[in-house]
Amino acid sequence: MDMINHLALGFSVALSLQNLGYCFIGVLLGTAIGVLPGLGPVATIAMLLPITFGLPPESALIMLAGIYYGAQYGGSTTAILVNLPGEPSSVVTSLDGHQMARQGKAGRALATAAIGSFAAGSASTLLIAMFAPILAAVALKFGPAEYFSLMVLGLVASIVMASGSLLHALGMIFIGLLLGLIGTDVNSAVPRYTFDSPQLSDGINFVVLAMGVFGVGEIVADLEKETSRSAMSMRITGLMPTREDWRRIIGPIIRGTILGSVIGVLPGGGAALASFGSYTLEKKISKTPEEFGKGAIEGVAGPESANNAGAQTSFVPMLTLGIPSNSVMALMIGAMIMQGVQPGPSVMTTQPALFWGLIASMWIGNLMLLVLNLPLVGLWVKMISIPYHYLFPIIVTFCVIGVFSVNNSTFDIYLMAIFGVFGYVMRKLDGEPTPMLLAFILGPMMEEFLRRSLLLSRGDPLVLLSRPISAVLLAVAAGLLVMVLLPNVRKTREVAFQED
Amino acid sequence: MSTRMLESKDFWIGCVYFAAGAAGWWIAREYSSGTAGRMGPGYFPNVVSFALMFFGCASWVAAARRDGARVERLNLKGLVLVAGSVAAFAFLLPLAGFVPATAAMALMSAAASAKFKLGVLPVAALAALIAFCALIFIFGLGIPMPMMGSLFTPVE
Repeated sequence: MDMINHLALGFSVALSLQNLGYCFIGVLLGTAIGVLPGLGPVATIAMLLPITFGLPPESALIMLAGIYYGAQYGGSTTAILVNLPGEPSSVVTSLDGHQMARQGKAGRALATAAIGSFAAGSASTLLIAMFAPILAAVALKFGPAEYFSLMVLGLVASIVMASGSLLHALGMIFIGLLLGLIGTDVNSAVPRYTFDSPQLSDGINFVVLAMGVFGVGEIVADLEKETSRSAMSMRITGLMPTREDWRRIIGPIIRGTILGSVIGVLPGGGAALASFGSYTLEKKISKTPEEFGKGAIEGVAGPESANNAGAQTSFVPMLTLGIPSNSVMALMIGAMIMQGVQPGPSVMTTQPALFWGLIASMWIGNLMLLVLNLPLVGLWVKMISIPYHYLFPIIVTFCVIGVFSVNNSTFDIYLMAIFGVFGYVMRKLDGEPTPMLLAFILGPMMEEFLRRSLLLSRGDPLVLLSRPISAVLLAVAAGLLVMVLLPNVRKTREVAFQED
Repeated sequence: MSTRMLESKDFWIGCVYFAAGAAGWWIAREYSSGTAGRMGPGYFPNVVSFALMFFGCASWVAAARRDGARVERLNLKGLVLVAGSVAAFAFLLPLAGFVPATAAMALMSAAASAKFKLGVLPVAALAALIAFCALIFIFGLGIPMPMMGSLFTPVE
């Protein structure tokens, strides 16, 4: 049984005192920042990234993963208690979760979210352990042409995820590609777009871009809708779900887990799509669909399970193929590269301790979330009630320190300010930052793989279509593009993103 | 050109794409393109730049054809204060040091909020923030930021 051995190795890594500690800190910090309204997982990870620089790769990734699902869980807490979802994936939770809270059932809603997340997390950990090796085995047959096509697929998938028009998702992708070109060309050592500046010759660090766009740019946008919000001052009692609740949530949790796991693996999938899909499914098969939106516990259990399952399985394409399926994974790839680990199919064979340790830590982290969050809910309520005008200068400070720490250079801070302005303006013009960030990270790799595959084929671009795996990947990408253009799918997408 | 055009988001984002593409192509003139089989440093930049110029034109066409979303007012005050505070930090850090730079940045960015008023509590919160960051990041993680900058060091 390979799987048992792998998981045993993973747990031996993840259960070391040091890694347990980092997992705990990650989960705790992730939740603490994730509960703050307006701060989703991307901003949380980008802000906390510098703390992980000095750690060994395993610990750093374990901590970052902990921050990710901690932030996600924190977002759900906020969605339930104040109806202010910090990120798309908890929009759905706020529909019924907040209604439950208003009926005095906040404790049970929070517990349902925690239990659903934990159950989904456990199941998807097993799924990853089963399927990741198969995917990695396929990926080992990949040549440069396959990699190039795979990245095209990843970028196209990010278009499907983007809420705006196809044209602008494409435009933002090419802006990202252009930004990714800044720096010295690896093949010819020619400096490109550096304006003779030595600081730009190594290229722009992705943390600088991410913090500018998601930190500064987002804060300015949030300041526009700064309204007085009243945190729930009610006492939270009755944490345990009743026997009746248990009966009602088991089905949604199982269905949500399966749905979420599948959607998470698809490039361009991830937590937001998973939770929306699960909510629609539960509402469709419910005997009492009229209760949805008025505090149906199924409407919390299903989407919360689905988004956690999706969050976990979205690590699979990242770890086995080196392809990020959403912007959180794009940040993870950046973090891995900084740690000197090239994400891709070889990670599993060359660094089994890192790979399986990370997988095992996800299960442990979810257990911590379950144990930690229910008793700490009072603290989270306090954090939610900090007014935004106290909060955002603190966020700015953390972002700035984080950016400085990457290269110890103030040049990067100036750049971050510029990208902040750019990100804000693009946001105002409906240009979405996520595809841009993805393209920025993938761009340099794509150029390299394209060069290599065309060098091998002596300049014949048909090589991308004559190799079967590459052709299939491109066909899937083309299929996705066509899907986005179909009026039917377009409509569902509009509904799915309406509440963002 | 009608005013509707000038109010359209599609038109303005098209300008961004086109400008980025044109600049990308202009600068990349000096890089040799090579051939598809042996790409030079200029090949990929040219492809990307032309694609951007194309998307720029496509956005202009879209702006002319569809009655798309209109440009909303920019929060200029917020933008200048928040982005400016970040730049101010970068400027002040080597000169004045971490403590004054953080104080300036936090106060300047806080001014972007309509609700912010200077008082005892905000100042106390600021002091706590500076102490916390100095403790964790400078002493704890060893990020090389001077507590007090060159302005405050006595000239020998």
